[in-house]
Amino acid sequence: MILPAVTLVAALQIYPTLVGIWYAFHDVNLARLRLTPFVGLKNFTSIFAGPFPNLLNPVVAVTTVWVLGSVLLQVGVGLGLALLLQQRWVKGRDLLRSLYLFPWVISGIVVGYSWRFIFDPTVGLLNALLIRIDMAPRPWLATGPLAMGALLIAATWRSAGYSLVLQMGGLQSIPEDVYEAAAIDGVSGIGLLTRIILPLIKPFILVNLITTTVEALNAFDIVLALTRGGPLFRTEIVSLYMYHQGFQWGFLGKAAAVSVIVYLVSAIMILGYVRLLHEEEAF
Amino acid sequence: MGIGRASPAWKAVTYTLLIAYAVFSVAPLLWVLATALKPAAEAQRVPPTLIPSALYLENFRLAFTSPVFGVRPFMNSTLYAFGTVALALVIASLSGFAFSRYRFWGHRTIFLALILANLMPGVAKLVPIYIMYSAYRLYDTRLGLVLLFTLAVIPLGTWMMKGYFDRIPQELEESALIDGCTPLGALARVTVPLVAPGLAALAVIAFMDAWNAFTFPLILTERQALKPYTVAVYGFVGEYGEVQWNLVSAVAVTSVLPLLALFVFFQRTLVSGLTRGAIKT
Repeated sequence: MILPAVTLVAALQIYPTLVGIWYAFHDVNLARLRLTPFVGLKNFTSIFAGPFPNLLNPVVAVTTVWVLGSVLLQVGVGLGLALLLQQRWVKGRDLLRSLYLFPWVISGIVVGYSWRFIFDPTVGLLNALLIRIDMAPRPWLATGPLAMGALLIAATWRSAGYSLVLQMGGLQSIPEDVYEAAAIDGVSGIGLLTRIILPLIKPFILVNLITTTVEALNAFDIVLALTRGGPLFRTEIVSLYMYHQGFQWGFLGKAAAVSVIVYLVSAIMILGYVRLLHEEEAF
Repeated sequence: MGIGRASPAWKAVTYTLLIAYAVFSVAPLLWVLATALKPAAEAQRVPPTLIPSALYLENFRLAFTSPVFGVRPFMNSTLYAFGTVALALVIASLSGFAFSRYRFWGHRTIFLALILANLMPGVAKLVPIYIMYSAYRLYDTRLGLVLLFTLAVIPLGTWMMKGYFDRIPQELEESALIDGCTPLGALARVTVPLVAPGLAALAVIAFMDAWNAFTFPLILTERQALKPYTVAVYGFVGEYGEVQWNLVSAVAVTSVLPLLALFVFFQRTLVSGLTRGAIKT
């Protein structure tokens, strides 16, 4: 009964991962898939120290800003909205949650193009609004920091609702008498938040942090549609770098070497995830 | 639920923030919808109009009759999505059932491997999948794409279905067996109807996943006739040059409509599936 599932995962997930590691040490390219001489660490030296752009300049830095920025913004905004929305007297909770969550189901490519159109310097919505309130229009996607900011806004717009749903699940898991006990003890406001609520939903926050991190490392379509890695590779995150090396320039071996690095980083995070789940089961 | 009392000032702050974020969530969608209803000349105007001057549906006709876009991409996406839903439902309910009911050799390890394998970033296997698909004639085929889309939801699906099966008392199946059902017959006639909500949630997730898939179809399709709408719209916008935003917006609106329908009907299922799936088995 588990055979179809196990076969699929083994054939299209585990086997490709292992083969990918093998390719990382061979000279494979798009024009010549079969004959693949062993080249040792050449692919790795070339992705770290080859001509611009390479991993050290600027891909790792760009990816770090992207991953940290989108994870903190998504989880932060999601948690903030969940705390606000979860207050007992708030009306229209279900409607608001629906509005927040809906962007999450839209495809990354459509999200990317929609926001590229909003940030478009001439026909975009943002500059139109700025002109309306007598402020200067800006070339939003033309400099590195602005383009990265635009990406982070688009990613948060898309995924904060997902974090919100998870964090509301966390808040709903807190029994009502915890609040009653806190009220009796005179704990409220910031004290209630930092000393009682946050520690209680910590597992939800941690799980959310890790799933969003994996998702951010996996991001591809939204960035390709919104900035294409530009201007001048200033938003070239690791997945785009791999795609460009492998499928635009044809260096599949180099792209496979990039995957190995991505696997290593993800594996570290997944190990953290496993440990976390084990700790969860312990209490 | 939650904190009970609040001062009027805090209530005002709360509602302001909540409504401001709701506007932020909705505005981009309305902007794209507005553009989809503008004639080309109005969509290019600087500065742009916020509300279209008239309800203009010509963009949809233009996009769907255009030789570079057309109806085909959406038909392809629909086919892939339904194919994925069908395969995922069968495969994940079988494996979810097995993990819920049987204690076979290595069941914990296999289950954990299934879940963890899925956490590895899919993007990282672009190169090996491309080479494998070229070697095994799965490159540029519908089957190859549907298999990958199905794989993407199998681990989560197995996990979810195991959770639903866990909550059904085994006595129900046993009595069906005593009454002369085969194990598969008991599964089909007794158990499956009881896990229908789980199947619905899985179907919705599988549909959305396959409908929105972009990366693998981008590198694994050659023929225009096989491209889903995501890849077709990427080619339609192109790398350089003037973008016809009115037509792209029409395509974007069309792509969102089925998602909106699913979201409206299955939101509760989706939310409970997400909350449960993210935390524990």
